[in-house]
Amino acid sequence: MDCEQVGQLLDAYALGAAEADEAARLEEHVADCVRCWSSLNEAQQAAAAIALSTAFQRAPASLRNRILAETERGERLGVPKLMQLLRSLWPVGAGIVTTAAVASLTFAFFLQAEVNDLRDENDQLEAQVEDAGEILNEQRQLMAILAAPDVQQVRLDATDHTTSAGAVYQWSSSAGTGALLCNNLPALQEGQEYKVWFLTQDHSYEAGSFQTWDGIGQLTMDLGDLPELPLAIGVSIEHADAREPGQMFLLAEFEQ
Amino acid sequence: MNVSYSDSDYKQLGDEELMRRLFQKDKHAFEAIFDRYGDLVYSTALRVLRDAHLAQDISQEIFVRLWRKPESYVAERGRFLTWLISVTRNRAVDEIRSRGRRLRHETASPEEQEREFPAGEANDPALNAQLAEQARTVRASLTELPPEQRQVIELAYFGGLTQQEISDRLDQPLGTVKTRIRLGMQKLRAALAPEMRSERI
Repeated sequence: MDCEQVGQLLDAYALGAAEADEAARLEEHVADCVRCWSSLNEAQQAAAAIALSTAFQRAPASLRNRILAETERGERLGVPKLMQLLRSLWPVGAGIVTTAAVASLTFAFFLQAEVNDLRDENDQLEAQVEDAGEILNEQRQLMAILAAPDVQQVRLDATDHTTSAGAVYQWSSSAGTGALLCNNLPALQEGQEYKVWFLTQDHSYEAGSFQTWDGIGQLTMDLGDLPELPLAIGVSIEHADAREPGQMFLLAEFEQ
Repeated sequence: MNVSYSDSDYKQLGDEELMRRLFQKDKHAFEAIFDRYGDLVYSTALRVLRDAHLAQDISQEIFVRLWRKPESYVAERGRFLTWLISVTRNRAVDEIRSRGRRLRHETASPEEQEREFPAGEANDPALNAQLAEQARTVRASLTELPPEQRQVIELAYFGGLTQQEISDRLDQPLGTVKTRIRLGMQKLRAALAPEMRSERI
């Protein structure tokens, strides 16, 4: 795409009305062209101004309270800090077990400290203590898997190649448990959750579900209940009451 | 407005200074940003989504993300207000798309939208004086556009439709839609140029 073609498309792009392939070519050009970048900036400024034409509504007072409560909640649990730590230790590629174990161990220590701190606070924090305690138990299970001598792993890739989401599933037959660690997951809509499925030739078995925090999600699973050896493991986005999987978002096949 | 922080000086600070403080996790700066732009974010999300509950959820997501990841705004790339509106509009449109365009199909016709969200004179109790002035300028500029140009621009921006989708919806040739968008936006840019140069918009 040259400067003239970019000029023809700038306004549509700024309005979000360019087709995906056109938008990608425009972005490629603009990244290396200062003049077009400047023009695009102007077009985006004008496009954003269109929002000011709307009839303004006062946001409900409860919205302000919800937002402030949400920021407080994240701070109190120190979760963003922990997630930053986890992200920095996020296992990619080979040799992830050690890294994941360190991340898990560190996470567990942090959570233990958080749990201890929270117990010293008043009764209103009990629910948060319970949540943190549950996460701590999950981390302990994860550590047990990672420490097992027969730990195995498989990487789950996104079926939609436009997302950078990914996951690693690790399991130990001797421990009879498995753990799924996901990263870069998109946020869910209200009522939705990520569901994990073991897939065989004819059946799908739900292994559990989880929510995400800042793109990260995890689930530990008891493998004792599986009636047959699975061929694959998948993660789909479902409503909480879904009993059958829709399209898999992340998927990996096991080596048989 | 439910202002809980005591330091009213925050109200006087510019957006960039508030963002600088937000980087330092200054909760008062965050509250000041919400009090300044909360209604605008909510109204933009509401206009796109046409669902008050969803608009609240999206607004919450935008502000909570701003608090947790203020670095997602890069001052060198443009004004804070432009960025905030763009993020809100894009997130709301993503919501429509992720719901299989169900919401979009329920979107009213341009005529119905005009009755519901008039772009001409409007009472703006939720706006501060400066934003209200900017809003009047933008509305006047949009109103001066030929209706068919304004229609495609609003379908793109608020309806989240691509040029091809607008073409299908209006049963107009794609080339016609492209031309209307380009001409309409050129006029809009020209009309808003003084405001943009003075960084009021």
